[in-house]
Amino acid sequence: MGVKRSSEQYQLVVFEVGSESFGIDISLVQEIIRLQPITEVPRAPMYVKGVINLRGKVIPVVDLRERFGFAVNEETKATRIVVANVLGNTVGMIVDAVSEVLRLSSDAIEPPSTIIESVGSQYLKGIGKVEDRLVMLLDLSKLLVEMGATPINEMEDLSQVA
Amino acid sequence: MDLVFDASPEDLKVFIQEAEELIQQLDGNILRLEKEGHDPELVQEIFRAAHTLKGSSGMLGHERMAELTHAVETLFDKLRKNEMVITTELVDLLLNCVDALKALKDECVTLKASDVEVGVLCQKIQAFSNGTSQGHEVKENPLALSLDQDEMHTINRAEIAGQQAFLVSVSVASDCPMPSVRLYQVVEELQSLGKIIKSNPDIKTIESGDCGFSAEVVFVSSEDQTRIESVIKAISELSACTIRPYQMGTMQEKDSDAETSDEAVVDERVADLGPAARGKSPQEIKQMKSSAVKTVRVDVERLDHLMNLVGELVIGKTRLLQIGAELADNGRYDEISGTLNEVTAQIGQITNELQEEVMRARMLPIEQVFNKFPRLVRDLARNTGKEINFVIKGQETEIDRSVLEEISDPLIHILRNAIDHGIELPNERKKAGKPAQGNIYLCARNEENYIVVEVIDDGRGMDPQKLRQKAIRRGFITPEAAEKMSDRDAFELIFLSGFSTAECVSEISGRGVGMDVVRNNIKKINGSVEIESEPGKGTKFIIKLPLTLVIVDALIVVLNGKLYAIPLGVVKEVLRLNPGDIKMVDKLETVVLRGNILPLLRLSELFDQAQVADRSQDDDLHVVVVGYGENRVGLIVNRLVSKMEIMIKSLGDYLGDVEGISGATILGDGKVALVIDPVSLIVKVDTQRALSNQASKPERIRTLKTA
Repeated sequence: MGVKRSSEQYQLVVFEVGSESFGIDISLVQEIIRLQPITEVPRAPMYVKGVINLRGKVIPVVDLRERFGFAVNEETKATRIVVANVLGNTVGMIVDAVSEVLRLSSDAIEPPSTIIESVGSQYLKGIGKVEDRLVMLLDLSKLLVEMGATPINEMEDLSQVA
Repeated sequence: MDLVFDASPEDLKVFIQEAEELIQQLDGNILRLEKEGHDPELVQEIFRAAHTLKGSSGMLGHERMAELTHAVETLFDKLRKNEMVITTELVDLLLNCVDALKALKDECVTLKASDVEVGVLCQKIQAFSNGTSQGHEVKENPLALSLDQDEMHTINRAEIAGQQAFLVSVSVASDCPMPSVRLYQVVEELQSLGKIIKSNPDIKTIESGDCGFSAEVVFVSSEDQTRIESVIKAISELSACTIRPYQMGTMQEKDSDAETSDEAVVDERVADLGPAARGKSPQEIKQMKSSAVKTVRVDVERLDHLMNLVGELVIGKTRLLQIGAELADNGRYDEISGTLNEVTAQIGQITNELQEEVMRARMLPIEQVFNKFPRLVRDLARNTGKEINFVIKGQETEIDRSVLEEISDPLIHILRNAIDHGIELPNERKKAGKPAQGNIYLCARNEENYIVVEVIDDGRGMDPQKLRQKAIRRGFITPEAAEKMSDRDAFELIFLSGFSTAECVSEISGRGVGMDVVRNNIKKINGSVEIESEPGKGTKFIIKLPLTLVIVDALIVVLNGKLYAIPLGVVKEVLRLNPGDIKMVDKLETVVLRGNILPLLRLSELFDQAQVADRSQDDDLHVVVVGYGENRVGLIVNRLVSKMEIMIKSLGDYLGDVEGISGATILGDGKVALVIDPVSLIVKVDTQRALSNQASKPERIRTLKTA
């Protein structure tokens, strides 16, 4: 994120987790694939579902639904794995659906602190206002990197706040 | 001081790689020069390597490196023109230069100036070139002495007439007030003895007095060498004088040298051929030169990626096969499904071939590691005062680069041991009735799916009885166990950590890693090492290495309904146990296998805590016995599936280290299976045992460290 497009436009991939919409900068997204058979890795953190075979490369997959404390929905035809490149690591994220690619000007983005007071806000870049909806802009580098270290229960608050 | 180079990081990388190869080549060739004496081809090769290095370091703006390589190049230019003789001192200086070049090359990596004093080295080289260093048969001034057709004919005719051609080189002492007079005297004397064919500087120059301190003369005479020598040496104020028969052969070589030197710049590619170009005749080198143009450098990462893609292709092919089979099962066998099967088979064939080719592209000659050793052996032999003849065989044997990286350190250690403890001092050898010079052979060869590397010395060997006694003294084994131990097992004792055969640990053997690390390193890459030794006769280390690390044979097993792979290299045997066979020792499940206690590990419980409860309902248990060094652990699995070739892939940084898992692999159907890391599991069990041993102080069985 943070890559400013011309005339201060952000281009985002918007996906749904639980009842919320999240956005990440399009440049971080390598591809979006359908849900695949996942091989569990013993003794890995709970939110790491396991590893998948992405054209010969073995990549870890994180369940964002579990990560954010949403109920893990049944897999539907819309369930996707968003494959992102963050700080040299390729990581897959399970989301309920990928809805759209959005252009957002920086004017429509509010810093998270003014709206959300929770600790979870540290993983947010900001809140984007799109017509009558709110899209939470995730700071993937923080979210995924710190995920490896400590679990963040605080993120559960997100569902109530926004 | 920080350094800035005039190159992009990409160019710098290429330069470093190139420099590494060239320096390695210099290192090896200089040693060969010392061993084999003056060989025009070899000198030419070194000259070219130095020249290439000078060119590229100059382009990069690495001035110190360019300066040093220039000095080395100049020196070899003189050697090439036979104006200098190779001496041990010269080789020492040149090796120092090579070391300095290595340090300078590293500057490109660290971007920090090293403390190499290029100026001092250049001065030393200069001193050698000027012949002031220890009065060796080194001549002043570049003398270019090559004969033309007519002069060669004259020599030919003289030789037919029973005369002999000589090459006389003389140097006048540098404090001689009138060197030209002395040189003229030499010419006069020579003329009285025979006929001068050519001299450098020529006679007129000498007569005019406008010449330096040395001269080289080719002349024919019917006198013998001793007579000429005595006449010349009678002239006073000469600092050096050599007379040797002049060979027509050398003359022709000199001519071809002169040709190639003009081509030196064009020839740079030949230097790129690297070690492969060594020991080849000029014709062969010319051939290689033309084939060199067809070679490209490829980043290893790119090859790895290619390998991955091929792996993926194989999986794709398998799926196509499955689809074909499904169509047939559903009774939909028609023209289209037939064509599909045909195409699938064709793709399968191409894929297999492709996989083989990519594998081959990743192979490198083992020479890349072996090349470092002549220098190592030479230095160690000099330090320890031993005379060693070091022979390398089979350096062209190819091996995957991943294995190549891992074997260097173990081999260095084994060689050090052979020199330090194996080969005796010259007078000791004489007393034992052996030649003063010891032999060390380093051989590599292919054997089925393995590469076998042997290090053989004809030193004092190892006495199994002494090893047993020492092991008892150190408390590694009981006297009873020692008695039962075979000689072969006794040799294995040296691989135990904390077990050193040296009476006193010298600087050399103390510097490196222990023999236990040697074995562990080799084990780590699924290799094995064996020892044969006879007291008084010598020792032989036999190392077996897999061709590649990336693709390994594995045993596929089922745990909790999921597939796992265990590398076959560490699998010792597979057992079927009755739950009643299991005994609890120190809270650990164990089984007595052929008189030895084998600790067991339930993988399904280790990987999934929920499974712990139902031990009692076990039917027969499948146990995969894995071994690493001296240790054995039985892994209890649910079911064995098959043996399969797998390609090990990393789980990536994100997941980090997962206990008991070394990576993942992709199976034929595209599913991911995890690869079990038996070594870490053995270490884990071992630590548990050690801990419970400490707690309850039972009779010490044999707890070995696996650092």
